[in-house]
Amino acid sequence: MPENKILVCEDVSVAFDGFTVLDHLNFSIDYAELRFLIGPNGAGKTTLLDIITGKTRPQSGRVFFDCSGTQVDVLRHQEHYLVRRGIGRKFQTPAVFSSLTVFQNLAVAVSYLRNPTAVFRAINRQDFAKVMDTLEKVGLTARSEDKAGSLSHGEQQWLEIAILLVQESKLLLLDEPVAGMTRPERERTGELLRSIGNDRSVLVVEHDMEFVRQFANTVTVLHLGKVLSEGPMELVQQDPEVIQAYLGHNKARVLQDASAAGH
Amino acid sequence: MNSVNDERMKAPLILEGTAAGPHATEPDTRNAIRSQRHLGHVALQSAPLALGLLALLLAPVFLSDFRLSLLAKFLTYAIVALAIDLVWGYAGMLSLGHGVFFGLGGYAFAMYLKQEASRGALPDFMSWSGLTELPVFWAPFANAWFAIPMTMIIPAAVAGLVGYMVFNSRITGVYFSIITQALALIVSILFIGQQPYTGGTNGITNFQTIFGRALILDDVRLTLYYVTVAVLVLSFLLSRWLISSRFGWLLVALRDDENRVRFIGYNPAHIKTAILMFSAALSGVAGALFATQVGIISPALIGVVPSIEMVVWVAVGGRGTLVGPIVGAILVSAAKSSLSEGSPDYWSYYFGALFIGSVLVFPQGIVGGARQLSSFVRRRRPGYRRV
Ligand SMILES: Nc1ncnc2c1ncn2[C@@H]1O[C@H](COP(=O)(O)OP(=O)(O)OP(=O)(O)O)[C@@H](O)[C@H]1O
Ligand SMILES: [Mg+2]
Repeated sequence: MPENKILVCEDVSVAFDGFTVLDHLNFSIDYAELRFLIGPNGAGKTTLLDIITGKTRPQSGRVFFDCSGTQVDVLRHQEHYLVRRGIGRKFQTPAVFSSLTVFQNLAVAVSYLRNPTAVFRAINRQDFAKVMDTLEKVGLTARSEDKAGSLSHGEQQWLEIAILLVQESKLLLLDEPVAGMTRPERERTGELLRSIGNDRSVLVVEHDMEFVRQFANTVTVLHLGKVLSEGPMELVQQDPEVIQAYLGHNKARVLQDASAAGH
Repeated sequence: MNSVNDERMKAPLILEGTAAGPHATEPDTRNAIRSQRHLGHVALQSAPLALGLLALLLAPVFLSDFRLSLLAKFLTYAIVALAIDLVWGYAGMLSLGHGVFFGLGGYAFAMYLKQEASRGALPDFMSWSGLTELPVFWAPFANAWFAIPMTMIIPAAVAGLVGYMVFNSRITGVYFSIITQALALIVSILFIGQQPYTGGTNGITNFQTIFGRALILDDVRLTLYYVTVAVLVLSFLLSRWLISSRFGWLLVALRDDENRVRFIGYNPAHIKTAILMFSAALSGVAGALFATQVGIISPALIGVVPSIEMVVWVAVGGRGTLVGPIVGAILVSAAKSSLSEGSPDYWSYYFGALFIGSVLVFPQGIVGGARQLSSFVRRRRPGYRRV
């Protein structure tokens, strides 16, 4: 595994019922990198996250995660083990514990099985401080006593990111973190991603091109289960294949809509 | 409704009456008011509990022997209901097989009581079914100090085994309920079939003494009653501590989103198995107290139908409230015994109506509904201010 890589996927293929979703995919992320992953609907972005987190097993390929020098074979471990090694994930639809308060959501996440008996004791000073700091960082301090279920869609996204932050995940996988957010909320989230990307690796799946343009340095374009293009946003945008892929996709969509309207 | 809600319900009282709100008072005064109100609220919340406990403690003074023995039986049910609530009301797993855990505890202690009643001879039902020698696994139960821990260890071990297999294969929801129901069916059939070892359909009965003292003596009955009250109170306090710890939050988290629990690094199978084992151990103690005071344990008391009845106590009382299941178990059982004194045939209809009614009209149960009502009333009072 190369020195500076935190995650390497080699030749990964996934098919559901014979339908290929990831096609001999090669993909890697550096330490302390903020990477954006884009691609049309159904390109396989979420499936790639499923592979990296152990939720789905590929038909072939190898996936390695570098955990402070030791190499973890992702395909041999269950989800919760990988989380403990430092792979954190935010789901496409926000997943928080809706009947717990915001504070409680973070309190159960903060001391996750560092020591199995920790959950039977009250939260310690250090963890408490960490939770409060994180709440401050994502701007949810005032809501800490509210039920997570009463938060807005955007606030739930922040809470889910906060969960990954208190867990000190080394690699954060964020599936569409700004979906359902207002423009100012997007701005704040973008700043947040930048600031947490300083000492962690962050992979952001995103559809909102304006957001990507504004905050992305390096972008990977996934199309039909393959990496179509990778590099700085300005270059990727001008890649004829990318334009073709998005255009083709849009054309298809437009055609579909038109025919649907015709009936 | 659950304890997490309880925390929330405290909030409205904290500053109620300080019309100007928190910012008008000095921080110190504010804290003083807050803690005073908090104490006041704790007192208010604990008052019904204290009254309930007082009633249980004084019951022997007011109730006839017959009524007291009924109450003792209901209290053993209340312990099971509490145990089911932890698993169902908090962790969200509907078990339809808690009769098994109750029964295993009951049988474990019945093995002691029966051997003491037989005074060294072979227990009667064994000789009737042709055994000439005491089965090896029966022998250690002659000692009460072996049997007592076994009333918890055996149910917990079965729960651990079944739980781990089920949860590790990620079986959840209605499939878990079906499997636990199958467990209740299998165990009751097994116990009926193994007559020489279990007493078959009749179960184990005709107990005489406990620790050498006759079970019919008034002071023995009274002591057993108070032991039951003590076990109930202890179970309640232990459960309350458990659900207000972070482990308890984790149980609620499991109910909300099991996948997210996995993705914060816990193995849900471990947490679920742990709480099921704890619940089974509580149920086992209840079963032992039941067998001792009612004088019998049999397959009809531990199979599918009683297991469902147990769930109904929790639903009627209010799941996720801890107090609710206790109230539910006592009220439903009391209704059953008074109604079936008159017309035993109709009880199942009443019971069905009660269950459907509680699910449709009062999904939060008695206690859950009452709490909702009181917080609604409080909120509408002038001077209310959310903090
Ligand atoms: N468990 C599954 N079983 C069968 N097909 C699946 C499964 N998961 C994903 N797919 C299919 O794989 C393809 C890729 O899905 P995926 O969710 O990875 O796309 P995506 O890039 O995340 O799309 P979106 O932008 O819409 O979220 C889709 O065609 C989807 O229908
Ligand atoms: Mg997706």
